Amino acid sequence: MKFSSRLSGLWLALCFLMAAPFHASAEKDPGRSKVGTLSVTVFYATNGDPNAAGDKPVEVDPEMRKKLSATSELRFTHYRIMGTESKTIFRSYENWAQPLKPSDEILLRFETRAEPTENEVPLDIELWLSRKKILKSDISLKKGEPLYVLGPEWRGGRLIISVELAPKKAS
Amino acid sequence: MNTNPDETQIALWLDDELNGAELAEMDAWAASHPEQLAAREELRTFRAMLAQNIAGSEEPPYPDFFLSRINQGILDLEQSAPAKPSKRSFYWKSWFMPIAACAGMMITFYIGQQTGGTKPTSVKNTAPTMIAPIVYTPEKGVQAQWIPAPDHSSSVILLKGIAAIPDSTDFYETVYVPTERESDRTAQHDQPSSQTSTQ
Repeated sequence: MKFSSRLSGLWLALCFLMAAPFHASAEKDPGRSKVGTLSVTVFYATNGDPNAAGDKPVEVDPEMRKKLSATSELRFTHYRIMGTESKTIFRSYENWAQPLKPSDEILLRFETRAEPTENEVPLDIELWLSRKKILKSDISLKKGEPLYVLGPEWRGGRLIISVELAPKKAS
Repeated sequence: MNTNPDETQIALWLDDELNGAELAEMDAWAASHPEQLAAREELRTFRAMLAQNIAGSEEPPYPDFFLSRINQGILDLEQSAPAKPSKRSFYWKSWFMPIAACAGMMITFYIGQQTGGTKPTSVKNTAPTMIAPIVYTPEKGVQAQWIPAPDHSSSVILLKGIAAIPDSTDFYETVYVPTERESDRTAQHDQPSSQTSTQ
């Protein structure tokens, strides 16, 4: 009796040891580890009436205005923030940002293309407008150096999609 | 000749390489093939023309001839030893050559220092360059152009030829529009729902 209980205990321990690595590997998928956060924001830029976008979008702060108007092609009189979303950049899996949620008019698909560094993440990005893939690029994003995409016309202005590495939260 | 000759046989006949019975057989066959006779005549004419313009090749002498020529050349060199540079000139070269080489190296080093002195400064002054990404627009009629900002603080992709979003489309229900207060720190917003979404 004593021997059989010992034997069953041994079998149980053996089964546990054999199953443990599989359980651990399923739980700790290195591909799902976070390498950064991508912030995608949609701006409404117009030289006309900014209220055409509605009363909900807010005006950008002066610093953002300066950044946007640094390039002549993005120079407009008014800028409004339409929506924003920040999503995790995984080591090997893709992710999607939907800055105008619940609308899927503008979507951004992204995934890491190469080994990221502390301040730079090489990404493959796809911009989807009206459920169509409009743009593919292999941009390498650096912290503090956003990518702006001058997008479609809307209500007398243009939509600008900003793609930027989010700074790390202070721990 | 009952059977037609093969291509090799015809080629040899055209080149006048056949003799005896083979030549007679081919001549008999060619008598009923005037185009082959004409081709042979044409080739003969061509060869004759070549022979007139290019000197005929000489038969190479025996290898022994080469060896004897080389041995003779060595003997001639040994016999003409008095024509060698004198010991005096060798002595002169023995001290002049190293000095000339050293002087040349020093001059080259000096010139290199003078001209290369400005390089580090110019490297420091160059602005950081941005590597242009590949931009691809799968949609027909849509064009994309990548432009770095003048101060390299950002980059822009200009999309041309994309359809406008209808004005009737309303984004009023957008879930997250930052308030005026937090509009300058939207980048810090990190949603916990980081699951991979699918289309």
